[in-house]
Amino acid sequence: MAEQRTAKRRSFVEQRLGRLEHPGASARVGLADVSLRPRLGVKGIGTIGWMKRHAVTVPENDNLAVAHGAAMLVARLSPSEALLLDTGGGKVMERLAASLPPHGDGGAYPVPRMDTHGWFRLGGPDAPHLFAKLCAVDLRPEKFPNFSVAQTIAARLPVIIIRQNIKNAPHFHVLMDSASALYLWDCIVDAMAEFGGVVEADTDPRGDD
Amino acid sequence: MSGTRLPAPAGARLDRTRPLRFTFEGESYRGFTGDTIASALAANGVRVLSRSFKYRRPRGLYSAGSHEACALVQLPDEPNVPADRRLLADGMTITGQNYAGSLARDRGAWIARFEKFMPVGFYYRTFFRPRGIWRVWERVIRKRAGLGRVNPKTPHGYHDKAYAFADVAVIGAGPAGMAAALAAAEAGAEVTLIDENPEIGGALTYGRFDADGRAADEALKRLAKEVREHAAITVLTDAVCTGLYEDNWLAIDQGRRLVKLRARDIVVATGLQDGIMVFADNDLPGIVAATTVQRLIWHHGVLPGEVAVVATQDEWGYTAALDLAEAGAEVSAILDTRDKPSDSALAKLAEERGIEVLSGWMPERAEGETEIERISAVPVDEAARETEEPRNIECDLLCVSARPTPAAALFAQGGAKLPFDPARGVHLPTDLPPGLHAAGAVNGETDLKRVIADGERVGKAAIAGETKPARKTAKKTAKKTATTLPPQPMLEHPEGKSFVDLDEDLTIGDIRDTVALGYQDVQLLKRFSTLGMGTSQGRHANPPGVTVAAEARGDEIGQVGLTTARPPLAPVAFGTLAGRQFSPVRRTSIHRWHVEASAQMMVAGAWLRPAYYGPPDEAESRIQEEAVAVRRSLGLIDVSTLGKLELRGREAGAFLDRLYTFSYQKLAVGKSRYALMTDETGAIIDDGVVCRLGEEHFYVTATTGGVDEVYRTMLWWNAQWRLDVDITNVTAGYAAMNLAGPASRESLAKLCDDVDLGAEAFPYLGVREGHVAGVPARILRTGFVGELGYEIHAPTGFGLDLWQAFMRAGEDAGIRPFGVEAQRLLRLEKGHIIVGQDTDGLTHPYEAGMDWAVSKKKPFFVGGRSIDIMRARGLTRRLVGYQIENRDAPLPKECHLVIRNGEIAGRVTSSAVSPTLGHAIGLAYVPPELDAKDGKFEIRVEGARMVEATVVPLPFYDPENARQEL
Repeated sequence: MAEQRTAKRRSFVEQRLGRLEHPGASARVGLADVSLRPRLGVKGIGTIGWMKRHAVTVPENDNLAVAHGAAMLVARLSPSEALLLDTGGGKVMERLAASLPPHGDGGAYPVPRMDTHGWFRLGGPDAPHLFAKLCAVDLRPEKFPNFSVAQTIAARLPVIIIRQNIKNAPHFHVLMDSASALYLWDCIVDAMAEFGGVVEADTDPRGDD
Repeated sequence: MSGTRLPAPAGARLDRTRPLRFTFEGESYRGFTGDTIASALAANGVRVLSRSFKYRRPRGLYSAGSHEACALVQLPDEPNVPADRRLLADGMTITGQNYAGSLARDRGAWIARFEKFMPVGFYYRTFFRPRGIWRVWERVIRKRAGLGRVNPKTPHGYHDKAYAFADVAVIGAGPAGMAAALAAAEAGAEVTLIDENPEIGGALTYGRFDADGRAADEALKRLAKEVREHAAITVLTDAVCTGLYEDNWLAIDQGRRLVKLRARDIVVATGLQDGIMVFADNDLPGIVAATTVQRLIWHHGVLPGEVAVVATQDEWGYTAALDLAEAGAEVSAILDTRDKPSDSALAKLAEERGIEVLSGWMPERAEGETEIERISAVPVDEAARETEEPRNIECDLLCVSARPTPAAALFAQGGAKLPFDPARGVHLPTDLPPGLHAAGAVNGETDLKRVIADGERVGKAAIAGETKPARKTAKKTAKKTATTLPPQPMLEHPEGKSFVDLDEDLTIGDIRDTVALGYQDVQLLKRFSTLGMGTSQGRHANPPGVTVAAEARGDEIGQVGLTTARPPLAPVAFGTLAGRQFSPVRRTSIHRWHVEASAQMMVAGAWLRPAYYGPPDEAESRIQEEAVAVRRSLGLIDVSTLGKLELRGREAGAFLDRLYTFSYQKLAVGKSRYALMTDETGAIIDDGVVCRLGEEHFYVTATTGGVDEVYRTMLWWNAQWRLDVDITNVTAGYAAMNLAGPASRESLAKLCDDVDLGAEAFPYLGVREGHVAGVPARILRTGFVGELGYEIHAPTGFGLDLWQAFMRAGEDAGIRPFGVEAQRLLRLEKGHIIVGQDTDGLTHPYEAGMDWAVSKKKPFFVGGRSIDIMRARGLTRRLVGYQIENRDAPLPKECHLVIRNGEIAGRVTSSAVSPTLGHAIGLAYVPPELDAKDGKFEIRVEGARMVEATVVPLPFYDPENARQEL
């Protein structure tokens, strides 16, 4: 008899670092590992068509994101690639993932972003200053509007950065190679010490904008 | 002399409620918070800070604004610290530099007596004869070279970097810079104002622009307040802009942080830098630039002398004389090199104060044991010197206001030109490229109102995108004045040295000699004499140096030109350039388990992988034990680092056929096949396995270090071929582990019940999708290590738990984790190559004995034609397996040479002692004719010993493949 369901999904930071402490919240900058939140990549020439068929809101242009209802953020990475992030909980991501078989559907193919990419969330007024120590893109609120997407390099690591206002305050979703998640985590923790930044728990970050 | 502290308002930077203690050269002193090292030493009457580069002459603070070598001191963990900029800290231990014994009594100062044997450029002409003598001299010279001492035990400092952005960056927060920043900000620009000082204001914070000093105070109060309150202006203080690079990219050194600022427009308002007045022994401590005297008074509340003489070439000297007099010093005389007496309000006020003004006079020589005690002054005019007797004037301070020059190096870096302006006697910027602007004194303006107006004009121009060359203003003014300033006067004396370059100890005579030797071009002159190559990069030295060169050449100064100013503008600590370094590291999901199990991690590309488990001193035995466990029962290795690619689409099979040497279009679903990739030259560049998961779905593995290149190659070729295939790199998305050994099937069965693991149902090279420990997984029957084995690929998020499940399930079979080293050994026994280790940049499949992996039926694959050509030409080498029968022979290492008839005939690529076979085995490139069973060749190992090897057929182990196909 096979040993069933003994394996548990763990976040990439926790997996490599061990137990993660959540000291609390910071007024200036907070970092949360939200890697356990569902997400899905869709890729291929049929991507936009597949999204429309499944009533997924499509951002107008590449490098833009849009809120799909209150629970999901949709980022368009290229004319043929999108990233769907569960930002508020719910079953919509599960349903969408189930509707996209591994072999594809009409030229749209699933990408296992749940496992290829780690996912951090950064918030607080000093978050752009923190990024200035890691990333050459100007992420200040007035230069990087809500729902902007930057596919860039932070700390010499390819990352996807998406801005989303949460409770009217700018937050940044950062997605990176899952194998390098702990590396980037350490870089961010080091960079945010200057601002009194703290590691926060993954609380429901439902967007309101 | 003893330094004197002045009461407020002097000493604006000081917090006198917070005293600090420090030592210099072992003596204890006190200073205040806000002091620099130099100001605190000046307050304590300490004049000598270091010894000079060549002649080891005592040196002290000259200019507090130009980063020169005279004021560099040593901290325990940091050499060459600029004493005029580094803030004093409590408990600091400071020493001088470049001496033997003590700073006061330098045992190395004898070298000055041998100056006749050390003319300019002597090192180029002296140490090459007789042959071999350089080795002797090199040690002596290297010992004496440099100034400070590096402490190799210095603890790591924390340095980082930050990016910044602005519409307009203004460099220099003096009156012009502040005015420019305000004008640009008012026009809607986002402005960053950068200054090397701890406060904004520049010369307004210490300078006296009119007789009563009110003009500077009022301007400072107004401009600084407006700058501070303007929301669109960001101020960076203590920030030295060290470089201006392409596309308006500025490097800004903020001590522990390097700021990399990108601006649409740059306004350079860096003002003026102190000049040097050339007369005999003009380097004695106590000879100080006028601006430095004023900084000491107004910034640090230090009166640097009691009896002063002021030597000046402009009005600024009069302001310093007035400041000194009002601070309580006795100013014995003002020596004004200009032949016409000044009629300015400043000059009149000085005379009203009873200060004697000698127009057309200057110092001929300074005298003193280790610091200035008196000067001898003479008329500048040579004829007048015949009639006038020199005047000896006692003093403990010689305050010098030589002709200042625009701090224009950033313009040169930015691509502007710096021609000589004879009307002003300085080099001014012209031909500014778009986006680069000059404001204020660097434009040749000196009147405060005009400086501020120029700043406002340039600030508006920057926001308007105007690119008018700033020089236009200068040209107009030059025409109006239509005069030519005479060159700076310089005097020599037979009993002293008249330095033009304090950093490099270069005298007037050195520059003349350089020109006389034929190095007339300014670039050659610089390199031969080292003029301007010291710490201050020619800030003081270039104007007098070029003046002497022009005279020696018989040219105008403007015809000599300037040397190229390159970044960095000021010395930058290595820590600033180096740190904080980002070096991405990739860890598998099982990393923590490996570390806790005492794995010795090794680097594989960006990945960390277990080399073996156990202490380093047991490495050899642990590797052998791990290998034996796999052969006898069961082992588990983390292969998550393998490259993994998804190829999906109607033409995915055709795409793979074009890219790899084998055929895949007819590969059945549920099967895998070895994949060998060559480049267009036919050289092997990667290998892996192609698994067919669906009719239009392939899962391809690649090597750990090669996958990124394979992915790029695939994307590139697909952009050419435009086939219906989508390629995704999912390397990090799947944890992968290889369960290998005779007990692997039984062990896997404990965790997997939705895949039939039977030998017939799931044969060698089969691929199945199912669940392992409840986790969706792709299971590949592979044979890299030559045993029954399964490679399980599962979502990375489950990697750690899945590994632990395997370790539990394998307990009965004595499962043992094994690392990369054991895997290398096992695959060697099986004769499998490692791309990059057993191949090089030229190896083609036939050389590597991989004919079997090349399809002969395909019309095309990348590299196919090249391989055919090389095959037709015949092989020049062949990768063969060998064994060493002599068990006492030393083990060859990778890259040890194969020797045949005394010549190099090949090299070893893999080598190990096989625990299974009981002797050393390996792979080596040898001449093709040796590729025969029982062929013999020799390998030269360490100590030039020769070891005999015998060619044997591959694989070494289980040639019938019975074990992996169980």
